[in-house]
Amino acid sequence: MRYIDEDGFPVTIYQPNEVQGGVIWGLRQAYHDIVVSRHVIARLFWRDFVAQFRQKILGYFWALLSPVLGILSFLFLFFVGVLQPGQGEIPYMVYVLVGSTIWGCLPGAMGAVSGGLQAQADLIMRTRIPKLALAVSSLAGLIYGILISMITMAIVFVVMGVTPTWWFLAYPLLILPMVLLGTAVGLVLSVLGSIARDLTPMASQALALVMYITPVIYLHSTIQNPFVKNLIDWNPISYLVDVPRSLICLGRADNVDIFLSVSLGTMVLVIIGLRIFYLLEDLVAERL
Amino acid sequence: MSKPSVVVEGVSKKFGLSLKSALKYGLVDSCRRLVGRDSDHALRAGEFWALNDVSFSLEPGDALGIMGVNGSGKTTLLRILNGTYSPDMGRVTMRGRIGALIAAGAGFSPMLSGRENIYISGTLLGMTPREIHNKFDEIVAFAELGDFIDMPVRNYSSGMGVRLGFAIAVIGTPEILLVDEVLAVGDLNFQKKCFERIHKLKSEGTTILLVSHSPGAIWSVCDLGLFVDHGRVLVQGAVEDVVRAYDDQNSRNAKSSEAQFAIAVNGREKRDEAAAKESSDSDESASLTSDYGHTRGGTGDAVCLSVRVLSASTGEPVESIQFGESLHLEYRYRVNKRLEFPIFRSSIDAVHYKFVVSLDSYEQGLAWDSLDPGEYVMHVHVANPALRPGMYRLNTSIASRKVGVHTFYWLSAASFVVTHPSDRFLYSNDKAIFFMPCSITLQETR
Repeated sequence: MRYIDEDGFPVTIYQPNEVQGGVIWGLRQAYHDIVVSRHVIARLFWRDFVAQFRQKILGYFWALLSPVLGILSFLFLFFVGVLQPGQGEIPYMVYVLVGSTIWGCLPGAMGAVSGGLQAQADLIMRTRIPKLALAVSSLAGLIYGILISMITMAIVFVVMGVTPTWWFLAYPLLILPMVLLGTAVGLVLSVLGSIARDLTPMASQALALVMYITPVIYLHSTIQNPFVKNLIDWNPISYLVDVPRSLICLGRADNVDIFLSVSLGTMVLVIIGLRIFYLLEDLVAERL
Repeated sequence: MSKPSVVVEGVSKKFGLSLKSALKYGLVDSCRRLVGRDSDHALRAGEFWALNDVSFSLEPGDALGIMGVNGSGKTTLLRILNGTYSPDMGRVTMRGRIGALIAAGAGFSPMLSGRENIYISGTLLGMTPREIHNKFDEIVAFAELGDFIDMPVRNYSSGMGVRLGFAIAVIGTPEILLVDEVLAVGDLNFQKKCFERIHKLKSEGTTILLVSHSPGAIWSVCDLGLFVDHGRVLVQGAVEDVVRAYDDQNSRNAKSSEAQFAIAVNGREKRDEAAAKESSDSDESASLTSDYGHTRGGTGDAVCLSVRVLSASTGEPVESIQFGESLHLEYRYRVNKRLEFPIFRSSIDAVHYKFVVSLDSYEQGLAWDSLDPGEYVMHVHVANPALRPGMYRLNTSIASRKVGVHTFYWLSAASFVVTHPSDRFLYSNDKAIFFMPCSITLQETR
């Protein structure tokens, strides 16, 4: 607990299980922690970003080169006919690229947040930076990743002769629910995963399975099995991938109402994730 | 009267003894909390108290030295004060901006320059970019890096790295400063500068908590002390008392660990001796090894059965004597064959040096023509041993003036601790063995 006393001195009190606030308290505390740590988050991102390009001939060009090379290999497979596209309004190449890019935000956010505390264990033990700030500091890298993926998508759109709709500019907003979902799960894993180290790998494996019941690289219409079809329909993440993709590529989408409901659900999950994080964060340091 | 800047009330912290118990109780506690129940504050199987009911209070400008042997709980205490660990019981109240000097250079990125790392590390220590910008030149000057500030940190020498880390940490002006063993960085001039900086902060009202194994560092910075052992505060008060208690505890631990080590190393040797003794029907000569390189050995003509350190006042066996007290030793011998011109000799080993003292019956003016078979007890009284506080080992032997080898020898036959006196502060050198009272004069010559 922290407050400013009548003489203007900051007072810090540590006691067992001091985080007894509710979900709203957790949200306010998260806002406070992130605001007071904004410089730290920015510096950590800048440190890791800058350091990875030092002593390299191409320097910062690597930031763009890696994803572009990935896309080129994908284009190669497509043009030599290895990839068999299904039938749909959106060219399969674009369909898969946009879908997998949107999907990537989920494991990306989950991995960044869940691994944040363990990656910054040294700083947890030696500094007084709020643990939430360290957990979410890697999310700053995700923002840069989103920018890069927009550039790579734009390149593919040009190569494929597809004109994206204006929704393309709203891409960061459209993938926000995926980032929030990944953050919510990541927050829980960042504390529980520090106590039991196999929880995060287990969650990653589970997420890989969830991808199979999400229309990321296949068309929903190509699925024949009614059971699998039902699974895909009942999978809320399907809408978080399909609706943004349709909006970007076609300018229209079905099930926008479900998308909005699921998006609202991801916000609630973040609040719950924060609550769990604050309830358990003090158990983490001694187990790092 | 100013308000206390640090108040620690009944703080306890427990840890699991193994990763398995840490995992088990971590999951149990997580589940309990998630269903709205408090963690179990009682000690469970497989747990131990790293800190147990620690309480103290500090005013602004106080400097507290926290001492204790490895595993005593002092770093756990500092981490609780830093907010890294949450206490399992009790409460800590910190009034003022807290600075932590727990590791110089935390968060340094080796690929980045010193300049860039100043901004990163400063931010991690809670400074705003504007504060870092304003103090940048001061930090570079304090670290004595000059033009090297734009060189990647990975090319720094280890001294340059810690100097920079320390400079970033101490240039801030916290109201409470937590310091963990990082004062001994750089060369002598830099260390002097570090101490001066700490003293400047202290004189400006910063409350300092310093964890160190170095009595010199603690004594030079702190006026109060806390001696922690197995998680409990054993001594709290003037820093001199705490340094004495810490040093004495170190000596006792050394004595006890040496005894355990000796038992482990010599176990087989002693079992062999016992077996030989049994089979030879108490024939001493058969149970002893007759060459050097063992703990005990000899011809078997005579043996020393026991060596004890006795209290000067009660005559009872003791583990320690206080500095300045007389040393009483009791030896019990069995002579199996008539000894011609026997000499009884003992030597004392200090922790760092061997044979620093020799007590020899012939040198002390005693000479016997012979000693008949039988059992004997010998008392040795050293009125003023002048041994400084520490742990000492006693070796003993029986020789003959006419024979150039030992009739009997016994290494580490006994050990004892000399504890600190309450009226004198012996701090200067933990490797020194003797204290020699002397008169000192100092005169100005020009």
